Amino acid sequence: MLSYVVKRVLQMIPTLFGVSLLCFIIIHSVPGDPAHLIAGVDATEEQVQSVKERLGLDRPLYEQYFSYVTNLLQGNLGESLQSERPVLQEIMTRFPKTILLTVFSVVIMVIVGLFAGILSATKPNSIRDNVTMMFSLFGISMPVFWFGTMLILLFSYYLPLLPSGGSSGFQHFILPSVVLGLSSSGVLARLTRSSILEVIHQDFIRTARAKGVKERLVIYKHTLKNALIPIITIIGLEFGTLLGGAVLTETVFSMNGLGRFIIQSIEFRDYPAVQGCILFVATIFVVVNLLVDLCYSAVDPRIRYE
Amino acid sequence: MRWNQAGKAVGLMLIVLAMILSACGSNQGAAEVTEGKGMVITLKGDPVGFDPQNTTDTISSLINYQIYDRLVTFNEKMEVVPQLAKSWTTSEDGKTWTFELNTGITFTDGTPFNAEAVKTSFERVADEGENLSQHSLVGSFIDNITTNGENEVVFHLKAPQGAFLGNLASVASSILSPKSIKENEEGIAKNPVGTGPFKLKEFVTGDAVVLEANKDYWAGAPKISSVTFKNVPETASRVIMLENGESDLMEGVPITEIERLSQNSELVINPIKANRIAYIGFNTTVKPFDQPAVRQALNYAIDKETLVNKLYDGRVTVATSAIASRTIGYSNVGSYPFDMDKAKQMLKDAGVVPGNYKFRLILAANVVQDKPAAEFVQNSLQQLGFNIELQTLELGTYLETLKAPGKYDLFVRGALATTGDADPLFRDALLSTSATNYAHYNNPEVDKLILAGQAQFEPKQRLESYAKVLELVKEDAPWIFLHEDMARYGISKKVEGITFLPTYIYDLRKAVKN
Repeated sequence: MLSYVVKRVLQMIPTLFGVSLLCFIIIHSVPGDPAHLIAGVDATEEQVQSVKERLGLDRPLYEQYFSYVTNLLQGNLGESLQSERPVLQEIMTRFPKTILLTVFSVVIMVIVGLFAGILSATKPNSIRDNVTMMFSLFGISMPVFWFGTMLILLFSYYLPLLPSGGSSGFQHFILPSVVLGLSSSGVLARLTRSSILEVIHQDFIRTARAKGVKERLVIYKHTLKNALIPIITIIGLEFGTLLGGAVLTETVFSMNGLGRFIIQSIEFRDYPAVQGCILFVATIFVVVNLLVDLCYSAVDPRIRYE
Repeated sequence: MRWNQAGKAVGLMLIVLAMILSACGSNQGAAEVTEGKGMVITLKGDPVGFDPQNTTDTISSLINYQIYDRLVTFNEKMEVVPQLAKSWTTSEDGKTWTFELNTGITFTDGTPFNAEAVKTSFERVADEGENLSQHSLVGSFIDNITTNGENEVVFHLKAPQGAFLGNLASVASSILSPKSIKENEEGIAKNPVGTGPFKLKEFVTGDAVVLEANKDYWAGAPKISSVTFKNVPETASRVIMLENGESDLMEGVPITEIERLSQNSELVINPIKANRIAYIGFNTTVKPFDQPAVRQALNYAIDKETLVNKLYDGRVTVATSAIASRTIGYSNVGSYPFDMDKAKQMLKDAGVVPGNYKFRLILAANVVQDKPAAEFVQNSLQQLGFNIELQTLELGTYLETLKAPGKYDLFVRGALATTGDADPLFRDALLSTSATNYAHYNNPEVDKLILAGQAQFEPKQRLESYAKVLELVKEDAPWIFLHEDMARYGISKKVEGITFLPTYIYDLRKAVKN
């Protein structure tokens, strides 16, 4: 088990290195000059040039990448071009909000998604099943920015119960978590339904029923446990998706999280900040994937990591 | 019982997350702004910094306007009035300006304000080696500065400077504490020290800037305890926050919302004529825009009355010159009347067959207010038979594109006179040697007049030079002149006493919140 974890952690290194290179190439090939954006729209050529020199943007690309990687190996993500503060510090002031939003959303997603999936699967092709699946389709297909705006309209305008934006108190997290959680619970509900249906027709379930085990126990103990593997996978994947989804949601709800910081940094062509954030999110993603894999063995004893 | 193990595993994941969370440090993670009793204003973004000599964006200017004072300042009619200086005199040749200062004023760090402080402040922006972004506007003309005792400061200019007083009234000429300059120049962008009515309390990037009242303000302590500038990028959110009382003020109320918000008994919608002309620039290096007759024809083809009345609900006015009417140097040279037949005839005479051309009209995505105008122009030119593709580009890409004359044919831009004077505008957009003259307009006579007007300090003479510039520019038509813009403020009725300037800046010195 331990050797497996070590092996997996070592495998992360080339992955993250690849991410850093790809991200560097992509962000540098986007047209637009950070020096010009920082110097201001009306800046003269000389002003732009002086900003370039100050930020080291006039050096050749390979040199810039080399110094970026050198810094990275020392655990230094560089300084933001915009605020001239260390990128890591910028990330750490915002990340707690994003992770809170993500965790709340995952909780909502799991509760709603599992419940809806079980509701559907226990009475397949009934009205209940069809209605639930219709809602899950709604969840999958509605854009978060639209749904978010609608919720703001309802809960902060027509019934002024919740603030329309910000991220200082718990009340600021309610609407955005509901938006993110509900929109991804659709996928989970469908998956739960199909994997339960797959299990429910297997012999051991028939045996359990024949033995006279209560239907509730059949569903919750025998079926659900065996249907959990794909569900855990999707929860792990959704966790990453939600980190990504936070980008839009945070913008709609004016939250000062990592997602909105990425957007602002891209608009400003703040290379170090964008690279740092992407690398940071990628690391989280990889770690969560590992945790998901480790969860499998807890759920299914047949899976062993050597 | 494996189910319990699964539960444990999931629990473990959550615990790990919680650990990550707590590792992020709850104290710095809680970087969050507490709002005292005061005003809340929503803005589209963050300021770039608090160094007025090194920032050019409107948001930074607006906030720095409250933190610093200037020797002179603009009133709402854009007239120059005394602020830190009591009075001033100009020498015969216009190269020497002497300012008599008010006494008994201190900076918020306790440093006394005097002639020496003014000298230190301006020497910083005048120093070419400092590379400050406002050097060209307010520093480059200064030869040297001398002081006569504590309360008299003398500016010696390299050449007479017509716009000098207007430049001194712009935010770029704010007086910085000499102590802050000497101790930590880099730090000014984060820790500004001025003599103004407000002090910076905290700034959380992406979230808010909080200013607190300077109770010892020399011109009378502000009536509001604090001002919180919240960064809310979504216009819809800004409108909702204004409506449900989360904020007291916003700029840029969407035209479509004005009617509805006007009926709200708790709000006032206050449109302020802005010193901005919206225009479509021709890339005069591409055919057929190298011919003045073609550019004039296209000006005739735009029905500006319909544009301002239908698309902008009559809330903006037709431009009557290349600069807005409240700008120093303005004169009314009239606009091109709408005459489609004439436009077609002129194109014919110039030998232009519209169907043979396909033009790219570029627009920066962040200037939302110009989009309807851009679409209107696109439509009007299509009626002439041209193929026009409107490309809405993100700001960075837009600026990049403008640097490459081969990549655009027409562009949407605004001419905003931030210093209230025509001079920087002319030198930015119409002078043939300017890097930001994206129309690549080149008329030696206009160049001569712009530089002459810059050096004339007799207002009458300057006006004459500039009137000729505006005449020639109208004649040459490097732009399609559209309309004079409006700033559209939504204000809570609880708030009074704000002075709005035509430069998208407002003064909170006398603001009251009930």
